[in-house]
Amino acid sequence: MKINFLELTLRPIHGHFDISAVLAYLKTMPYCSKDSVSEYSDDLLQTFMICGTQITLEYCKKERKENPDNFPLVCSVVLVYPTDNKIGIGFYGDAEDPSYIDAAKFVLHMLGQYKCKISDEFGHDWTEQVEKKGAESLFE
Amino acid sequence: MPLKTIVKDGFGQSYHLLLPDETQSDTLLEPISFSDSSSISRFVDSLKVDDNTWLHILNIIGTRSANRNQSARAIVNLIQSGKITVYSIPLSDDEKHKGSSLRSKTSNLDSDDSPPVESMPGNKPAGLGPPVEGSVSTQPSASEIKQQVDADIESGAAHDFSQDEDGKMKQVYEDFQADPPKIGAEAKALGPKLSTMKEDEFIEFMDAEVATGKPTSKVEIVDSFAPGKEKQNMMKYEYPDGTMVRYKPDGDLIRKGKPTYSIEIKKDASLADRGGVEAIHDVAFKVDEKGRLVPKWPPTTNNPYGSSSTLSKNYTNAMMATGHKILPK
Repeated sequence: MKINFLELTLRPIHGHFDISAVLAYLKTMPYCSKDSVSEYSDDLLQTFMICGTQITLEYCKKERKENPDNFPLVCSVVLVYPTDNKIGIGFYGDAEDPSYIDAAKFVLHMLGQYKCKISDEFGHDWTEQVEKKGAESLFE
Repeated sequence: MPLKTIVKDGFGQSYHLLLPDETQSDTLLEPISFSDSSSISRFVDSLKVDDNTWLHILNIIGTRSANRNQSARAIVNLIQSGKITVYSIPLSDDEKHKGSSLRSKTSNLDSDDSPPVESMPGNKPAGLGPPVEGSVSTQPSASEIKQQVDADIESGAAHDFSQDEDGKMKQVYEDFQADPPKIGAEAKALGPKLSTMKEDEFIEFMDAEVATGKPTSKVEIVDSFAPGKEKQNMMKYEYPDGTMVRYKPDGDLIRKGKPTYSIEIKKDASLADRGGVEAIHDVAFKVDEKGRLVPKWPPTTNNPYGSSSTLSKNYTNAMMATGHKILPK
């Protein structure tokens, strides 16, 4: 896997994300946990930590409790915006890190379900590339 | 039966120190390969074996240390010269079930995540000896990890150059360290200056910088992760010496709504920020509040604890915090 960005935003080109299905999917992912420290209501934003391993999950949960102002930069993060109709994904691990790989799987799952507009933190639009080369090309 | 010298680190991991004239009877064990003397030093430090124990080992070998304080250093030298070989002893099944694991990255030691050993009475398993005792130690505190991160940034040990995408990091590192710097001199000065500013002071300062003609400024519309907002105007200030400052008024994905900035050094000062798919690969380093080079992301971080342990997470987290800054309102 190759790292081409640290943050991605997905927006459905047609219609809306089925938020309950997205949340249900996240809850089935291994070593994934809803962030217990949030300054926003669930109607505005739900944050999930995709940690890849039990060790990382425990570390991140502990860090969030002890340092709520700083997010641990060792896991992947999924932001689900119920009313904004978008999903943000942050990849903060190494490309070989289980948290990175699991977050990539989440992105591939979402792009398998929805045709999305895809952009990264530098403002680059990946939509056309994914249409031409497939979702896997995001990580190649 | 020959006696073995076994030491433990603070997390219960045991190591066999194979001394000169000894042979390794367990052919399944692989010796630990250290990349350089600093990684050996950190390994020896992680053992925190007391000076008397090191002196005892030195006496066995017949090497005299000038004084107690230098005994650990002498051990480092003996490992470096190959006179002492270090073998990691595999964890028992019980320990593995506790979630312990060892994994190496660029030949560095990766501590496991078993609970810190509170005591190691005797530390002399049957048939083993001489009576070498590993120290009693606890997991390094957050402040100790920060100190280590600071020291590694200072010494340059923080960087894993082998993980560079295109082999340009090393040259940028050397050019930055030159006196005067051949690249990124502005970044070196901006690190301390910007670190004390609030957001409005930062904006005022950067506007004044642009007015002097030193950096160019450019607005790029990027995603906002603050609820209810779609986009934000990221400012990019590019200096001709390869320095780039990014400022996001709504912050990044994990700092939703909080203004952030980062100081970066490009790999090629002559190239304007290309944006697009290459943007992330055009950056060599970030710069911390002391004006020093820090890894731009985890892959180029030379984590002495590998990648899978709690300790390694602590280290990476502390390291990444040095290059990603929040601007107070």
